Amino acid sequence: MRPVGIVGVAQTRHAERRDDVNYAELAFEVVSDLLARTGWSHDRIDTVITASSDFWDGRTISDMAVQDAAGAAGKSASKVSMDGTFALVYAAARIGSGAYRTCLVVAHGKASEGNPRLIANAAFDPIFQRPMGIDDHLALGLQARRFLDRRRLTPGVLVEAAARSAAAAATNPNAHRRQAAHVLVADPLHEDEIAPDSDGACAVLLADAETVRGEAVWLDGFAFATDVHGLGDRDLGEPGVLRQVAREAYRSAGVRDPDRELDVVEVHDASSAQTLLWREGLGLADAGGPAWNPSGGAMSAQPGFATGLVRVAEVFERLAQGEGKTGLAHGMTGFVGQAHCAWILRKRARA
Amino acid sequence: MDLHDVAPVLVEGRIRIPYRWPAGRAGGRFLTLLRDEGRLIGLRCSRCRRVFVPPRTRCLSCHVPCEEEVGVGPEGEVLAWTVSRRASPPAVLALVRLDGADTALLHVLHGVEPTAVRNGLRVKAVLAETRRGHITDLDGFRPL
Repeated sequence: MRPVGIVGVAQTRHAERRDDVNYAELAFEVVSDLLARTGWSHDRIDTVITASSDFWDGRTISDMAVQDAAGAAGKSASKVSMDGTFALVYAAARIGSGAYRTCLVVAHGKASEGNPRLIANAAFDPIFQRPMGIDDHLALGLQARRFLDRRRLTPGVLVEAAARSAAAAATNPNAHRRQAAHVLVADPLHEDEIAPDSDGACAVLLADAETVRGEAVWLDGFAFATDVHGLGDRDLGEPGVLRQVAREAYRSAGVRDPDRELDVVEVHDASSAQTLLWREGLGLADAGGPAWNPSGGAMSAQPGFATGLVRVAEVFERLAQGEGKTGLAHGMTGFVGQAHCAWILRKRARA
Repeated sequence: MDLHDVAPVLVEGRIRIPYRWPAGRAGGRFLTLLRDEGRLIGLRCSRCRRVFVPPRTRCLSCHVPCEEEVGVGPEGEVLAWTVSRRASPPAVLALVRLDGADTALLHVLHGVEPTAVRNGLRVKAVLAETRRGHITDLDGFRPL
């Protein structure tokens, strides 16, 4: 594959409710910000990939309403109904194949428009699982319980992990500021140990090596994989396919010792149990190593399918500002980590 | 006119669409036996020998047919559990691996306080009085 570089990124401030805009206006807001930050105009963008969820947006083929807002009119646009990190796979392939030179990726999530728990319930199998009243929070509870028991840990580790995420989020200007109480929602998880439902968007602009000149941040490796779907068909207390995704991502980027070679890692952790579980899945030591979720991770904001792409934007910003050379950004689709995607970003001179 | 000054206008709506979901061949067999005979079954992979409950026509790992029917339960073990604190009264949901099965069924636990549930708890299936070919024909599980 030809080299793919990042021209720039943008994200909105994430919030409980953005009643002031509809979701197309939210996408327009983040793309306009990206163009302003990079000094680019739309005529330089060859193709556009969006990430959106029909059920969250409350209309089928939701991308149809967001593409013109992303500036895709007259261009070859496509979408994935998965996290934005998977949209980045699609986008990087378009440039890596040589078919396009520049590609814009736009992801949004607007949880406040619907009822996130009812929408999550509708994502489960309607014959055996949906009638049980399962939703994303309850699935996270099952996973957290299994995780604690498998490792013989007490719920105190979840409290500590959530506190570290909250402290990091307090330094993140884009974090979703919320009042989360320490009350049980889905045992053993409390409200403040579950990532918020946020409104927000993120955009990433990619280009080929002829366009991205000088020292830049490059997409030097990635991997993604999907596990079986049913909650009872895999061990929720294990990182599952993330182990394999991490191995393949490291290999593709030539990372041999992630604890030493990675400077920053951002993961999509939908609960404080996932904060710990995904760290294990990435093969990192319990302590030390790279800066871990310095933005607060998804616990700082969870704007639907933009959540993983925000991780890419956070890693990019840190590398671009000189806080290290190599970083990993993780995204997930499916409530308890059915599908994982990992990107290795590296700041270096043009290949 | 500065558009940033527009007070939000919210249009309320609701999507209601009826569906008919086939339970499938394996799911249909499971629900039929549950309704008519009060029995629980799984299907065994012809290659890895794992027994899937709910049953699947194909192995999720080997991608070969699961054709051998085996009786499972009615007793089993809790693999993971949580409590829906938003439900009134709070409902205990669990992943239960029925004896003879390799995968777990998601269902409700009755007759146990949330604080008394433990992973590894032995439970037994409770059938509903009237059954209609639905997963709720199994009323849930009770501790032994």
